[in-house]
Amino acid sequence: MTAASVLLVDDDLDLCEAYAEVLRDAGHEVVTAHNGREALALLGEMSALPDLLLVDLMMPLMDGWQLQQALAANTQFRGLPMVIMTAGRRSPHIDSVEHLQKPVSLEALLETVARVRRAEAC
Amino acid sequence: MAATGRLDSRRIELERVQAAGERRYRNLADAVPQIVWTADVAGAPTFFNQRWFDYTGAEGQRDWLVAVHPDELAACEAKWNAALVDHQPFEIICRLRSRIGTYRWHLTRVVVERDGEGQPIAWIGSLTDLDDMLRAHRQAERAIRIRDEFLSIASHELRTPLSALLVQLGGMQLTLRDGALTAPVKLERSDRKIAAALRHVGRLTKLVDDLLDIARFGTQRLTLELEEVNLAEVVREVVDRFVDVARQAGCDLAVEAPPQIVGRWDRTRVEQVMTNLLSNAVKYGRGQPIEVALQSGEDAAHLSVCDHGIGIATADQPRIFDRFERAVSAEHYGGLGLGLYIARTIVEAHGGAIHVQSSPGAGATFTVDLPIRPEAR
Repeated sequence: MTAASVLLVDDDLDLCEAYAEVLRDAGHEVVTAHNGREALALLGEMSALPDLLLVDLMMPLMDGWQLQQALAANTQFRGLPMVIMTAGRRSPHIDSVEHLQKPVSLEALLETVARVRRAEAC
Repeated sequence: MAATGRLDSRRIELERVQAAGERRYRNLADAVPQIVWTADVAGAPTFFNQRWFDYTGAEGQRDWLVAVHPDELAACEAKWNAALVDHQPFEIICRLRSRIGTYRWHLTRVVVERDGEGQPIAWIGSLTDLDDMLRAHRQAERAIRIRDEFLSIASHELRTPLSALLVQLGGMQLTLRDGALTAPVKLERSDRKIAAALRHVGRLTKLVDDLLDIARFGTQRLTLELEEVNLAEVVREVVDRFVDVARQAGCDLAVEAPPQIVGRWDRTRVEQVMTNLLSNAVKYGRGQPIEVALQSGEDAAHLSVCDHGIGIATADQPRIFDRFERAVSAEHYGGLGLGLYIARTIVEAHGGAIHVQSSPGAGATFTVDLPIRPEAR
């Protein structure tokens, strides 16, 4: 398995901590943010951009879709692989992007991170 | 002469029967709860029942259109004019002006009366008041929409701790199966994951308890288990439980309370009120300080929880204590939207009151007044 650097964005502190812990146990590097704005600020401060972003949809201040738009509008961050995590209902919009439906099993989480990492490395 | 006399008496008899028929017809028209009117074949009014005069306050035989709301007048006129040409019945829903100037929704039905040969001879119109029914219908629709939104939010809220639990348990299984890890590492990791899993179970339990409370509050009065309680102690305990959560959210938590305020309250329920208020203060507090204050009054204790966060618009303030209501979108702020409703129900069951003072961007202060001896009320 290739270790990935992950920016994990979720407003739920428990969930963010749980995902971060299992990803770290699996050998990945994890940085966490609790809303889109925090994630953008963190990205701006990073010397090396993460391999991928795992982003919750419903968050205060700036939600997952708004973060996606902000990344697309920024030449430096455009094209950063992003996986949306949602506990909401399925929709055509969500089906059009890489996403994980909560509750996310550990296997699905690790498999998605590994797959996105491999695709990026190709 | 005898023949003329017989004809006269037959005419008188006929007129008597006709008059009786007419009277019966009008009595019938007055007996129904609707407005009823008649018009000749050209549309000129010939009769209005008593309900028309009682409702509209109109005087004399005027066209039914005089009471129609200006917004629906053109459509009513168009239907009526078309009917006068093609002699077809029609229906239209319009607002009708009452004698006090208010408008109520009515269903207007107009049918043509025909003679034995099928020729149109007159018009009969009825106006049925639908206002209460339409209002109840709108309220029912709103209640259903709010309930559906709530179910969607509830399922989202239950999934979040469930997700955390699932991932922690999966992580624990991987840890235990990982041959590369030493026993102390496995033990340390598992211990941490079990602690986290228990926290998630606690959160799930709180959600399920809230859902059960809502179901219970809807069907029966809240029963309190009153005992001697030191409210100052309860407040400090709940604040202590929130220190970590508040710190993670960037909020400093300060409490100002006397050593003791003793009264007869339901300890668990009062804790619940305090928990819900603090949980909101952290959630909507934008990382600003939160102040909790407890004071003793003559016959009541006064608790306040003050944050400096997003605040609540004045228009939203009256409904935030209602079931399923929330001032902000569930898209951006999680939670069942039940906390303040539960808090209000508990406070009111104690004979107390809960209030909010707030303006957008300036935070919110929730104040709870709890009578020291609720059963004395």
